[in-house]
Amino acid sequence: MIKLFHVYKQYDTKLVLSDVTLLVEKGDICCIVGPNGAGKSTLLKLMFCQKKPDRGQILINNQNVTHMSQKAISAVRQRMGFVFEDYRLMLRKTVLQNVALALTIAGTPLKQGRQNIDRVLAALGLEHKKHDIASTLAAGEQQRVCIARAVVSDPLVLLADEPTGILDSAAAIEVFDLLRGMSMRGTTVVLATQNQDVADRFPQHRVMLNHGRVTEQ
Amino acid sequence: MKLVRYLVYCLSETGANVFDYRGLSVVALVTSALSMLCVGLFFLIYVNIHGVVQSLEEDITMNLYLDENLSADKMLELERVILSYPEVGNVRFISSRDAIEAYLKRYPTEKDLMESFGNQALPASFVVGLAPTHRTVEGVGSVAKKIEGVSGVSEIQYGQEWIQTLWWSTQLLMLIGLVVGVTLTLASIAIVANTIRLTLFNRKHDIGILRMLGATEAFIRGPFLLEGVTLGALSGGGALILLKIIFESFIYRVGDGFMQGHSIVFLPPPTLAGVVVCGALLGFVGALLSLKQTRKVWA
Repeated sequence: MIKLFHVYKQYDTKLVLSDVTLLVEKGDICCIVGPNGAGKSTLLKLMFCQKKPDRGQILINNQNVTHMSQKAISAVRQRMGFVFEDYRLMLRKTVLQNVALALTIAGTPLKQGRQNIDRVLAALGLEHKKHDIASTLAAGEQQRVCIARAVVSDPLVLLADEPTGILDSAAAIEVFDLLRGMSMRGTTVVLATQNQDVADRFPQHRVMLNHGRVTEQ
Repeated sequence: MKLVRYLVYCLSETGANVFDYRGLSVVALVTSALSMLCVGLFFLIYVNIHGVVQSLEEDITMNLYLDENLSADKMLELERVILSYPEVGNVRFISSRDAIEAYLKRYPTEKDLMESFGNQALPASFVVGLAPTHRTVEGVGSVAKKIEGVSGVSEIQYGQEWIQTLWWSTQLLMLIGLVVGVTLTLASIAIVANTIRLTLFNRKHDIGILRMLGATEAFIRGPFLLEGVTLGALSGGGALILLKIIFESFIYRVGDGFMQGHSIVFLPPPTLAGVVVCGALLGFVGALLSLKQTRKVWA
């Protein structure tokens, strides 16, 4: 579960988020929609404890993460998954190593970890790329590896910033199915997109963001 | 199980770091090994000279020349007094006659000279041997001070000058070794620290990802600390191999009899292990320093 209360964020003199209040229930899929510069990525970064709000409170699974120590943030992140817009893969490592890293950090048992990796790579059509070095992959494949890494440890919360940005429609559908499956298993999913078609696939809980303000919820 | 998995991760990351930046690692390894070799050389010289000093100290004796007309009773009394000192191990009496005989045995051509002085040419003396725990330069000096004021003793001889010179030489050598050792140790730490710092900067992107995935600082630091330890231990090992080569070629060229009957010895096995462990520790300290500095920059 994610709760945001009257959250404000400002970069220098520019107000990026203004009085954002949001509730995402456990197992819910929340789609944040808005144009470029609306504050979607900043909102996800705040939820991910990558940035701190100037004002307001943020609760992740009933834990106030607004002013947490770095150590506590690490523990929170181990139960979260994040799909980065720029993928952030370790380019020298193989697909398997990149995906397994999340499990190593979370301390997932090896046997369970292997099963998870196989399941996730199969769901994203990456089994045959398992031993490929990340830098040799196409951009779409890198994005899928990033998604695999985010979901492999069955996180309680999944945050995805434009998760299908450059995927073809078939691959995008695979990703949507994966997110729906996770949501059904109890993962709270928040995805940010500027693509209306993507937003239309998740009509249950849509949040419109414009100039840092929630205009429709 | 979790720890084993983390250790496997640390090992593979360390291996990857060393391999990916092998040029840098080799330079760090060689320069560190050379620094440690210098320290090792000093240590080796010190160990050998110290060995010589110790064996000379084992043989330290003191000659107490007695007053000419000291009676037998007084001599026995004096012997009892000297033996009562805890620093004294044994006392041997050498009569005037025995002294002359020993002198003539050594210098037979000076028989006439001795005869011209009569029976009292050389005074009677006590040869004082020190107790094993006091066979040191300080021990002999302390006994000499005690005996100085005792009546019946006309002169004390124990080769003060050369003993003092030898003692100061070893102290000086130890001091120089210490200064050189500390300087080069700091240099080794700096070399490893810089290597790790460069690796850290090259890995900045990956470290950022690890943080995003929820890795703790300890998790992130592990491979870099292990890299420092590995580089340090390998440098120590490399320095020992070089030292052994230098030692063997020195023995081969000069021979080991040049130190007046004292054999030159290589460092004992516990010291060899100590050098490798010290190298690992230096690497650990170097890695820790660079991690602390970079944390300040990236925090």
